[in-house]
Amino acid sequence: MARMKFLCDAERCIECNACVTACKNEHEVPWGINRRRVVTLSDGKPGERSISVACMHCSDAPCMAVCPVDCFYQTPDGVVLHNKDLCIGCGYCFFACPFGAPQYPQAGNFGSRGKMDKCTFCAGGPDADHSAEEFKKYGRNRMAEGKLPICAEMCSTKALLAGDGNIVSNIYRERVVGRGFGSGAWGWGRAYPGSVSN
Amino acid sequence: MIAHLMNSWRGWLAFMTIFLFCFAATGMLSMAKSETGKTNPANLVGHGGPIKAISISVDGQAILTGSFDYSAILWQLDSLGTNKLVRRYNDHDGAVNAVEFVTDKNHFLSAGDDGSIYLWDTTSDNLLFRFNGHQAKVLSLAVSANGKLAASASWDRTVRLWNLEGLEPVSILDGHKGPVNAVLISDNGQQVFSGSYDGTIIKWSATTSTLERTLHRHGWGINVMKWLPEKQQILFGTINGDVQIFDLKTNTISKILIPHQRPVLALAVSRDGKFLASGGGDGIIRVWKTSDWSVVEELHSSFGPVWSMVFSQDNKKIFYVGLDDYAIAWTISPRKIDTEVQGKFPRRFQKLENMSLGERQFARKCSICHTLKPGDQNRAGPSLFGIFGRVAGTLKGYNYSAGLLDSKIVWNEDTIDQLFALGPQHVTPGSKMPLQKIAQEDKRTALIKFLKTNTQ
Repeated sequence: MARMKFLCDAERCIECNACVTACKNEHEVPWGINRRRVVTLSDGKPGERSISVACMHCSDAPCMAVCPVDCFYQTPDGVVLHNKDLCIGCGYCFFACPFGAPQYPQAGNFGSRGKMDKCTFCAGGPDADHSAEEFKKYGRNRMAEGKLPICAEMCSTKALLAGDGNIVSNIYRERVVGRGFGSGAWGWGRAYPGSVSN
Repeated sequence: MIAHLMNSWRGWLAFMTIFLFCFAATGMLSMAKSETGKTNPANLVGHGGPIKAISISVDGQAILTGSFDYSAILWQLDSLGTNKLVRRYNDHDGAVNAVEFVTDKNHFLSAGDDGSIYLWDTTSDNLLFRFNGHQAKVLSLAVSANGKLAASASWDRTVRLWNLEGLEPVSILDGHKGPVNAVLISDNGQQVFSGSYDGTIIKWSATTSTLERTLHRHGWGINVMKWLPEKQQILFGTINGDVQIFDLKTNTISKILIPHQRPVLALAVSRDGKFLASGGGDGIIRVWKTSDWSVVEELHSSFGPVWSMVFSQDNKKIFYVGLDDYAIAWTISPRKIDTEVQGKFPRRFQKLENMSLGERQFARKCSICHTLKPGDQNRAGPSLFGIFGRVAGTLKGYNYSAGLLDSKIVWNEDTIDQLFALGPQHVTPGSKMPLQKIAQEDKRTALIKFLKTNTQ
């Protein structure tokens, strides 16, 4: 079974935000929520870099460890998903995630008890594949259609890669060797400790 | 010797006695280990859910904690190491994320998921005032040195200032592009500093309520900030694990400490400024000596994150909180780690083998907030003991929301089924209960059957 991974090549990301827009459009993500965002480091200074960030679907996902209602689970191909029927919107996973992935809609009885929302690697959720309920809660299940995440597919510079971890790392390795500089796969080692990093 | 003992019936008897003694002793030891956290008199035991916030009084004799169980607790610290629960403050409508003393031990502030800031009088145990205005949860509180001004940081992307004397809102500091996680006030009360998920630390003027300047753009979100002594340096921790110090005099990062592998969630600075500590989602607490920036101690808590922590007055202990229902007193000096590290243990919401479908539903979906025992009032929700036939909002001792107090619902198989089929927002609008549904009918039926037999 392939192990799904994201990789953002900081040498290629041009901060166009196409990945952010594509994600919002594909999953009809509500106003105020961005499952993916572009973070710019050293903004306006020498060495400025941009990175497209969302849930990295970590091997040993810290969100799973802190959830008080144990609503997270990992699919056989390594995608970290959560059950919105169980989530109580407590916000603990927000603080545990090194990528700032969990988002919360401003809904609920006391202002902030909305269910957590995050990137699903376009793999839906625990409801039946392609069901209306699944789309409403988690967005489109492209993985069940045999497709990879829309954000990586839409990336014009192919900075953002998604798919089988071995294939992704091979592509990246070839790139680094080819261009002879810049191993900027930020977060790869943190999300997937033990794998070949940078 | 064993062979010799087993050559006679007396020998057998002696051998079996020794064996059983050893077996029992081992069992008791492992039981004692698993219960260490709750039986250690130095630990603060009394909450009914994970603890999110902890604060210590200026004289070091009192501690405040805020929890997922919708309550704040005031504790009295004993010099002999036996700490006492003084009072539980449970008027909140949501989890408590921040607690802060107001100059002395007579007043304190608490705030959390319901977006309100509560001002308490500990001498009369009265709620003096409830400041409303935030549109989302509050994560951090700060009080000026004279105790007249408070600041609150919220996920509604604003910082709000409150007049603690006149009991009125002062201003809204609006400028962050993401949830605000941390706030500090300068000693003279004229500047406010806020750290946000948007990755920036902003300096505000409290007198004109305007944004003075963005001090630092970190890129990754700021989770927590603390003053170093003299209040000229801000220690901050970030989502990507960084622990750094921003110097207000030079307007630069003056120190970069060893980062955590996971987000930094807790920072603590000792009263005399000689030590500081960083705690992360990786369960690690690092204690630093500020004179030479050496790491004097490192605790690897084996389970869960460190949400918040404070140094004891003598700098010998750190009280830290996380997913456990109690605050742990960790003795830093002399080194005493082995007895304090908690092992990974099954939490009450985790799935266990041989659970019926109904019991599993309760464990996964209800037990974080409810208990089945009578009189157990220290959870976020009321005890479910005797739930069948009870009118909603009538269990004595539980602080119900107005939505439940006005409800005419009588809990039975049908109404409980409705509650989870439609969701609390439709069946008990205005309730403090999180939005939670159980879509599958067989699971609802199994849960109701389990509750029927376990709540009487």
